[in-house]
Amino acid sequence: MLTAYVPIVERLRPYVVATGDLQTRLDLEPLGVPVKPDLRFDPMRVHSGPFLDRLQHLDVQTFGPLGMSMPRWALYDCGELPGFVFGFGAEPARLSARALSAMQVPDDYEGLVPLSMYMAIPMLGAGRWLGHSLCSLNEVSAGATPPGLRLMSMALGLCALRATTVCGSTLWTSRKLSVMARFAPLHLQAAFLPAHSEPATCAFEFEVNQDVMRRALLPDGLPQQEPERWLSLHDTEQLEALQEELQNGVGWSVIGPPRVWGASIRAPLARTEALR
Amino acid sequence: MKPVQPKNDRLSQGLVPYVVGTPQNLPFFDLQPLGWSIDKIFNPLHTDSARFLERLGRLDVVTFGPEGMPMPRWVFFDGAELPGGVVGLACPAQQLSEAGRTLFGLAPEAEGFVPLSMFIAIPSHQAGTWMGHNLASASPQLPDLGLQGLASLTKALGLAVFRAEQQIGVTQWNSLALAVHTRLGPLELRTAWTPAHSEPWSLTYRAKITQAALRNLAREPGQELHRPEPDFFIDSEDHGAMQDLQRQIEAGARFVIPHKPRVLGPEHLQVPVASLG
Repeated sequence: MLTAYVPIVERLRPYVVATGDLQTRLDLEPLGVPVKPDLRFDPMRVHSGPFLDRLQHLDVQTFGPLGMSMPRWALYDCGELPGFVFGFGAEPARLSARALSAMQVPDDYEGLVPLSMYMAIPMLGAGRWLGHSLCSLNEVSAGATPPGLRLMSMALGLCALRATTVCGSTLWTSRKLSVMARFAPLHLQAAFLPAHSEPATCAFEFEVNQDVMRRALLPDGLPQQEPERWLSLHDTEQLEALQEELQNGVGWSVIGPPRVWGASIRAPLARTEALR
Repeated sequence: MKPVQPKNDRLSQGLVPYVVGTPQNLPFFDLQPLGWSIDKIFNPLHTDSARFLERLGRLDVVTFGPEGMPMPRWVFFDGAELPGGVVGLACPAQQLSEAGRTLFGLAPEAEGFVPLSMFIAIPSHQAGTWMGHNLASASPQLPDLGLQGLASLTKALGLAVFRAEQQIGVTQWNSLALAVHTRLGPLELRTAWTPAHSEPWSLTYRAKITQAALRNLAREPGQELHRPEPDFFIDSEDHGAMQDLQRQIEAGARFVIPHKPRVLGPEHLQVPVASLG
């Protein structure tokens, strides 16, 4: 399943951030990729501090330009303590000067430098998790790491959690949606949220199983079915209309990654059973 | 169940309990918490809830703003409303005093409900254990309303709505919120020095939730909880002592904060600690 991702597995090292209790429940060899004991960080232990500093820097670098970097207390309270982070990193000596500079690695730091992260929070109901954050250094320093790093971080993270249902929310125009849509269909819960910092945000959930995982990790995963309609992601009126349909009980799903369409981006949608 | 009756009658007269929760989460909630009944439900996925959710954001700013930890709106959604829930007490806008309307930036003709308190919690990987990450009350900002005890009652109702069996939380050694949290009974210290937090002098605690603990938290007279005698005290300005305690916790020692701290000055507390042997 991971043949196309060998450059990531060979060049980078997976890590986990989770409390000691949660670590005992994880699959720490997701899809056959082992997370070594020294790269399992417990946020409640002091020695994890320097690595968590680097992790916060990755969050600031990737989400800061969007005005959506997480305050450090929120990373701990809403992420690391109740939830979990999975990602890949490398030691400073194995990083390019460009990557070291982008991550502002202190000269005396010798530990793992995180280059990607997938953060998830538990939800009510067995096997349900909320994907809270997904990023890689490639977003701000193109080519600093192998492509496909976000997808691999998310896929292996979900396997480590033994997740069966994943919820998420993201800006419609975020490139993250392309990664999430590899796990399509994404059953929409909301398409326009006026009280959110960015109202053009969608909320969705999808099932995870071996078939979904295999399809998501195909090197050229594409929508499996013809869309019933293409949603223009910059068109607020279309988003509001879709939200109204969802509120009226009509079910819609994103069935594949959005595509650039001239000067706009469109997402493929198909009607599905409404979520309860 | 006999409805919880806080000592301050004003809290049970004129205020309306509310819940913010998704349709997926609501079936897990108890909407008759501690004998109260909640029918004011806001679905964060529905545009009709926008006005109330914006007022919740305002409550967060006016209560946490001065301490520098207000929540960005997207964290409210991603880190509260979607995975967990928000529980609190509200009042109709028309019943707010002028000071209240000013605090919330409301026009005199404003309608709908205004949240005066909120408790936010999200589930943890352990069923029944909830992470309480925000407790806010506008009572100190609106002394004319006489809502003393609002934060405690809000947290008690919230934990009951979430059917919590244990609660974990994070606060600072110099925070008066410890006086509220210790009403649940002894708080087990999970961390005493927390470099992962913006303020390393934060502690992580775990509390066992029982009916008696919730009623005591809600300030219902007549509740008694067992509390061990303190073995020593931590001065909230003594970071060395916190780090030493953290070393002992990481080595396997267990401690609790048995009761509320003693106030030594502004943001300066003496916090009792008991060893669990």
